[in-house]
Amino acid sequence: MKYGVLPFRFGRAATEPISPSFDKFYAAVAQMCADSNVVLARSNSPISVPLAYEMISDAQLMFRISSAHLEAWIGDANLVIIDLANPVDQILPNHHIIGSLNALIRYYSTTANSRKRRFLLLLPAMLAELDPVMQSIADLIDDGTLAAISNNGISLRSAAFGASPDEKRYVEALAIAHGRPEDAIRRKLVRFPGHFKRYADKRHSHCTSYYFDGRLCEAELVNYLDHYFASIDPTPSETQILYHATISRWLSNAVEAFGKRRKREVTNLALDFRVREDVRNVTLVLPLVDTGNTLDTLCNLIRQRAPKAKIRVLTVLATQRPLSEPGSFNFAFGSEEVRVDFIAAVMQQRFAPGECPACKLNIEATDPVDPDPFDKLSTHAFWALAMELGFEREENVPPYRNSLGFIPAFKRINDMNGPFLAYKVHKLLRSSRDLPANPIVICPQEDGVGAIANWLESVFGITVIRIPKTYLGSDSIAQELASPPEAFFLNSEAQPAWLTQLQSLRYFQEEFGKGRRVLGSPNYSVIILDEINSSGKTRSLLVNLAAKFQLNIICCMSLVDFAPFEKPSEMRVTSLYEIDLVSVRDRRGVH
Amino acid sequence: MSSLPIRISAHDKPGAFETEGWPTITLPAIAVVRATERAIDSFYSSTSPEPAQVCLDMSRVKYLEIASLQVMTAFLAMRHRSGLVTKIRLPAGEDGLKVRHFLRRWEYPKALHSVTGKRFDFFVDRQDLRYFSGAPGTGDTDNPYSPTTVRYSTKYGEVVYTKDSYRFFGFRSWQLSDRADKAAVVEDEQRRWKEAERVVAETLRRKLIVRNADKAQRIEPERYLASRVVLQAMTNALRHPRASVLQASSHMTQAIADQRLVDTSFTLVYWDDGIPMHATLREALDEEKPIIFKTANRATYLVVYKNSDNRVDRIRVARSDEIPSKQTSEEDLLLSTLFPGVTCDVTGQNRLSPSDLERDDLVEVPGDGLLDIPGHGLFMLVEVAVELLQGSVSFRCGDLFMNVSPLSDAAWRRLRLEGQKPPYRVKIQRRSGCGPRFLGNMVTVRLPLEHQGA
Repeated sequence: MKYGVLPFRFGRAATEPISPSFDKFYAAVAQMCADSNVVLARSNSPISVPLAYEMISDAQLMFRISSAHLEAWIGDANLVIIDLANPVDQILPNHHIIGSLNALIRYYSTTANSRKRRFLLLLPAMLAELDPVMQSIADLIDDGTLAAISNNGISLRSAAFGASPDEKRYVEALAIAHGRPEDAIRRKLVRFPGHFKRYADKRHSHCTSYYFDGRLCEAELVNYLDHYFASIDPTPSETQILYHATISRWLSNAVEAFGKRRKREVTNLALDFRVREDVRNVTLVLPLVDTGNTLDTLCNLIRQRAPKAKIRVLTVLATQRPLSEPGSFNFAFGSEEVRVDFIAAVMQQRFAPGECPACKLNIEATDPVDPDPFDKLSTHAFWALAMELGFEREENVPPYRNSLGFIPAFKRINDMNGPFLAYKVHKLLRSSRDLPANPIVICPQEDGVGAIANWLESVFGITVIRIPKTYLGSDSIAQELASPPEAFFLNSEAQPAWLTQLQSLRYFQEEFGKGRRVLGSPNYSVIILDEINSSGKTRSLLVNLAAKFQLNIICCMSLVDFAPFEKPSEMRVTSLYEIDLVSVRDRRGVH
Repeated sequence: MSSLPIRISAHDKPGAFETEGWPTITLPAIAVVRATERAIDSFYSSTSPEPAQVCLDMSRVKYLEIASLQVMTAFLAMRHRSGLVTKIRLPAGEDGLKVRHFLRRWEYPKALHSVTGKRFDFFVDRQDLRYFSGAPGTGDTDNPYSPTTVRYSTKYGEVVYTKDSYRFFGFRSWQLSDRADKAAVVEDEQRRWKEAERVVAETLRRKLIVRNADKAQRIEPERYLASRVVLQAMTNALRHPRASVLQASSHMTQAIADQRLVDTSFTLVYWDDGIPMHATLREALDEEKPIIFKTANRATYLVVYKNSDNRVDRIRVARSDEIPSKQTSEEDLLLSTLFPGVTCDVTGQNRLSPSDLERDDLVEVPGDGLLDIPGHGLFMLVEVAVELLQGSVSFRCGDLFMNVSPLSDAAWRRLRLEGQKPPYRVKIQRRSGCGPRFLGNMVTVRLPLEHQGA
């Protein structure tokens, strides 16, 4: 049996390559629908169909774009998987989306090249029977043309559909494709640099350089807690769940949400030290175990209240552990030991009073409740990152300018602080109202900005188009522009992803213009992102490239701008941090 | 300690007015939205012409809901834009303390500023500036509803905690006139519901009531709320001509039941200051523009028409295939905005009109009318909020009020009408003609919550 996939991606503006994990997932799902081995249909484009806001409110547009993808391979496929569940937290398909798919399914199940062809709809959550959207496809389900399955494995199908995904196996396959929640938690933890003063018994005990924040991974944390308590806690009535969140609102949100989901009482010990005396098991959830002082105090207090309870601890973060994660260790308090499970091991710099460099410089303590009050990088934050990871002679200097000499080790900074810097880029774009509904970032394909781009893509859902530096300024683009706009669905395997993405934007722009009063517009808007700006050359090459594809430039952003006073007047230019190195270099004659 | 966020400066004399002796609209102690409107209507029934100065007296108010505040905002904005002065007396003393804290928690001062361009203290009677921080005397303290600034000192340091954080979303405002990217507005509000508020999502998943409860396990009602109610309400508001501001707010209401405080309902309010929906349709009909898209969807409604004295004028069953014409009344035009296939986007902000589309390269596909589905936004919103989640949706547009709720079997039997029972009961009422027209369009969605075993 041959299958093809129509992989929609909500909130994206351009096409993207399908990840290997989802290639495997689609193959596994197809196999669940077959009695024999399955093979991917010939010419099934390995690229996604973006579902930008414009498309989810226009069935005509969605139909045209979906059929352009399908036309290349539908004739060869017996099973069509339509993925409307990606990314995971997506809205339910509305009447425009289902209306277009409804027409599409009826069209491709009755055209001449159709054999017995089935369609499988992957949904984020099952649609209600009362929903008119659902009612509009009920006859397709009844006659076995269509089946639907949701992320939690609930399926809707008739016997006529034949073999279909087993609910449990489907959920397992999807979990593998999405990755483990603990991996997502580690990926999304933001490490805020700052000057954090810590207290014990209301006395300043030490300072730390970082605050670890889980505000971006609360959803994953809820899922992790769900799995964790399901595995350790077979008799929930005998276990009391406690947590201790003083400044970590993200932990409070996640634990409270888990409590709501599972109807479990959860208690924040920081507000209400309510431990049941007769409880058999106590599980204590913490944001961080660092010195162990707080953990020691809490365990002793819990023991006083619940003398017979078996205590177990889950901490999201642990310092002073080997960076093999996740893991567990035993923690001694009084005369006993408790098992402490942790999700992520992190490095924390700790300074005793009197030894803290920030204290010596009289730098004000950072408020951990709001560790990042600025849109841009503060001077302290930038130089703390630079000092931590050192300086190096600039590598890969573009041929059109001189080296900047010794500069902060940006690649290492970006690798170590990707979530934080991506968070800052996103925050700056939002606060300056430069973030459109389905944002697109165009950046050079290189290590430094690449790390940030990866996080912008995976954490913030921003479409990133990475242009190899060899193509910047090259005239070979002209040839690509001459090709018919819809050809990218066919060419996607033979050409680089960035070119397919740019062509897809050009195609969507043209399609979007059809049936609109504002024909030919609006053009897609993009953000140009670069790691450092010095001569402005890379920036202008990226701008020229975007212009060739009729893309509007919202703004040009660099992480660090070494020439802040040399800004083009015709567009908005911004950066996370500015150092006027170019003027200094010119004055000193440094090269 | 927490106080109203706006400080008073000496040069901007917001409290230059004391309202003693002014014509006064007095809100009752329990200021639910209908009571608030009745107070305004009652004032105007004996006041003519429009007074240059009016006091909106909330001093007796002990309970207030977000819908009442949104009505007040529309009223204050209407008068302010006409150059008329309106001052507020805040809920007074200890009895009003909780309501004053609610105003802070809902970020009402910011909301009013977004609509009028004036700071909150500009609208407050001078006597009540004592409740503000920075004023002589003492401002309010110990706000239990403050969003982020509740701090407790413990032996481990400061604790920051938001009590009841899952119950409150403050007012959010978007200026529309200077934004080309309206999709970003929808996305901004959607993002909050999709990913940010996990506690809210989990609470709603468990507590929203789903019709056909035996099948409720199959669906995720909070996702329906985000996908259909929030998205459609926002999209609908953005399409109203001449809207310059859009506001959204929501609140989980609690009440005492079984001797416990339980969540009883969830309310969402969307308001824009654009042209009323039925007036947009009227304009299109007058200009002989088509407003109906062909659709396979149908709906029926039991419609109760009431006059401004709250007496029933007539009752009838309406069908969604009734085509509005130039002769259609305003009430029925407003009703028709619920019909599948009727669009208020007739000015073509987003797409060509149906007749233009026919000349365009429409895709010819089987399944008659499947792709011609503009004009389904409010239909879908009502289907989900009323039919699926058993709530109600009300509309305030100009002089008209319309409420859509489930029609019970018993209510249908009492009427002894022939035919199949419609799923909806629609009440349409014209407000008293004495007061000012309601500015813009306001959609209020109320969803009941399951509170057994909460």
